[in-house]
Amino acid sequence: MRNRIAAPLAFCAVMLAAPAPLAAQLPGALSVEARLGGAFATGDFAASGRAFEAGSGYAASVNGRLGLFPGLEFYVGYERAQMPCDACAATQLDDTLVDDGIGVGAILELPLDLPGLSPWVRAGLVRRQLRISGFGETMASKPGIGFDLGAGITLPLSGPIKLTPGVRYLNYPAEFDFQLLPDRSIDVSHFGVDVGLAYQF
Amino acid sequence: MSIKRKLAASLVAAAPVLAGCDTDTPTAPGLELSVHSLLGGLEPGEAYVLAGADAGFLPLVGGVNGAEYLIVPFYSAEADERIEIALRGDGVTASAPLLARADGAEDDRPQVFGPTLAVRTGPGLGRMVAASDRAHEELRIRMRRETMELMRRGGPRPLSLPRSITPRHANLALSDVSVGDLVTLNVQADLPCDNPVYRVGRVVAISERAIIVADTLNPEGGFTESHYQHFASEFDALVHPTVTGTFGEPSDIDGNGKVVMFFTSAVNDLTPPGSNGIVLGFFYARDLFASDGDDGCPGSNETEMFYMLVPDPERAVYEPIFSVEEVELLTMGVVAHEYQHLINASRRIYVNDAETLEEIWLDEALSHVAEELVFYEVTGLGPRQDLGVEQIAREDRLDATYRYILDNLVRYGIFLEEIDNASLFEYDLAGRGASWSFLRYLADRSGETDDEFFYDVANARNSGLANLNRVLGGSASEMARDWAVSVYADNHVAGIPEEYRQPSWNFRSILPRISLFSGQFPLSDRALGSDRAMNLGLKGGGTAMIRVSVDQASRAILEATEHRGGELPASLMLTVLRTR
Repeated sequence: MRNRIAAPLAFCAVMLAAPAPLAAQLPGALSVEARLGGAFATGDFAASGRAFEAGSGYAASVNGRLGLFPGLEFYVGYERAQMPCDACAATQLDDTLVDDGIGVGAILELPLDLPGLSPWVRAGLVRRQLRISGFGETMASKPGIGFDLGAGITLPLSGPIKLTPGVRYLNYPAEFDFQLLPDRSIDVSHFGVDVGLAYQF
Repeated sequence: MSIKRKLAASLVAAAPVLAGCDTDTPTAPGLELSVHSLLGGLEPGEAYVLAGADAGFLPLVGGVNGAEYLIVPFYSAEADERIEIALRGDGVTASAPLLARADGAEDDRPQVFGPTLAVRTGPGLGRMVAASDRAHEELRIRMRRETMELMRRGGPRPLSLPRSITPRHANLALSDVSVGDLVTLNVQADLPCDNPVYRVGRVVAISERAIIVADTLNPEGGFTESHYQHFASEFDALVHPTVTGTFGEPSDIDGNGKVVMFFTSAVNDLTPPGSNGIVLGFFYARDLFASDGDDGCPGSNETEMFYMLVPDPERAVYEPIFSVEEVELLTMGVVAHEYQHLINASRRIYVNDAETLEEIWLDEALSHVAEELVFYEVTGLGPRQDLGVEQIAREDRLDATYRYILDNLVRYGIFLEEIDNASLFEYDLAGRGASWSFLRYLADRSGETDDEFFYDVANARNSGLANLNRVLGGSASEMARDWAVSVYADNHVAGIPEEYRQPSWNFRSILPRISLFSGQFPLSDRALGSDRAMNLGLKGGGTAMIRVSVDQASRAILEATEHRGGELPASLMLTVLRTR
């Protein structure tokens, strides 16, 4: 758990230490963003013959972003990802996994000279749960703290509206606290390709 | 600008607010089981413990190397109830035949308890005593029912002396006797109060705690005075302090401070020649009641006593168990056994103001524990030592093993053989083996000393499971469920939790060395395959051992229903233990 948190924190520290461009992301600038894209399960979460055999689905999120320094934003948001569970049918569970929760972190605009484009990277912490349904009920893991890394570009559209396509990787531990049975956990991880639409106030 | 401030403030505030969102609370066991199985399911030594409809659907996984599971149903109902269940396994493979067989090499080991047991068994001690127990069972049922009727009539309790162990009504013939005196005692075993059948007995030995009386009609060539004196001194030195130290002192209604042991051929007569069984002795609580008065029991001998088998050398020619040597070997164990019955009943009537006599299965279990306690006392061994064959077959302990514990071990082995048809709450041979082991298991789990635990059980006003629930402060039925798993898992499955262990005895070490079991651990189990359903009939207090395997990287579903497909009742508990 310590490494899981330390890695993105270190990443954030490096980002903060890097020279920030004097771009549009000025201190005090506030924007909201909605993102939608594909989510592709990886690792044990997706492995065949083990656990859920999660597949490819979608992820949607809404974020608020606040400029802290030139080129550096703080964000907080909620995301929900939904993926198929190939192994669930065999045990009479619904074949859909829901992974949702909040994330907080920083977005750093990279000082690259690309005309009309602003590349960025982001790193943050997530607090998420994995939910599985069946037998008329839903079961959720304990909230797990993990990390979220991403990168993309910002494309100005018109006025305060920007397009922010990107890729991201998310990982957190989902611990299931069973009432009747020994507890179990799994690392939930998925890779995503998404696009965001941001509005800056 | 004010909107931006508000939004910014909301943004900063959102994190902790959102972080407070928490989990749903799962409630459906089927959901838990399914999710658990997807996350790898059970590790070896772990178990699913379910009951009723919750046990209807069980996903199992094969894991990386394949897995083997033990399915243990336990039916928590009265012994005369019965349930038919059906098990279906989709994706399971039948396990190899009888894992319970004593792991290969043990088959070649010498039978430590061979010759003597063989003599005692004839065609098989278990079968023989089992049959006798059925006769004894009827006797015990009748005796208990009639004694409880006497309790209801209030006859035994003179108003001045309830709940005491002080003299109440002296049997003048026994209150002050000397060696050589003749006394008349009723040996009627069929009826407690009516139609007495009197026998004249000679007082052959008197010790501080015992009066030994030998029936004048006993066969020639039986016990000598020296035998009787030895029994009296052994009672004083060993049985009395051990048994009363745990269960409490018996009443003393005749005020002599002694127990009468009547060695009488009337006990032999309860086993007709050619029977496939034998009654070794009995205690009859009618002797604790007054013989006179409106509610009196004329047949009562009005003393603390029990009735003992005697040798019959002529009969021993074709039924060796009646030889002097065999009866002598059995005697002190039977004395310990009957003494517990006497203590239990007399304290219920005169000390504990009980509402009822103890249920027979539990009373018998306590008496078998009394034998075990004497075994520990003689050998210097003790409970919770996981005793194996090396400890009890040591040369200097072998005699005590034969006298005090071997029959308990044999009965337990017979329970394992007949496990599908046995009940913890019955008191045939298998049931006695089971209930002794169960009571030992409860004592070992209780966290109390043997003396504390068994005293509490013996000194109760209620009976049976209600009594055990009171002593345990929890559900004895649930502990019976766990005990049933321990029957298979103890000393056999790695990584099991404490509730699946039997800390006092290593039965897998001992039972294969008893000739009756031919080198095998005698547990009967069944293998469930995916080809067809397994139908299983369980008595109340009954259990069974079913093994299933799941191939590597495979998943399987086990379904358990009533045999017509309905949901299982809550009294049907099911444990699934991963054994490998």
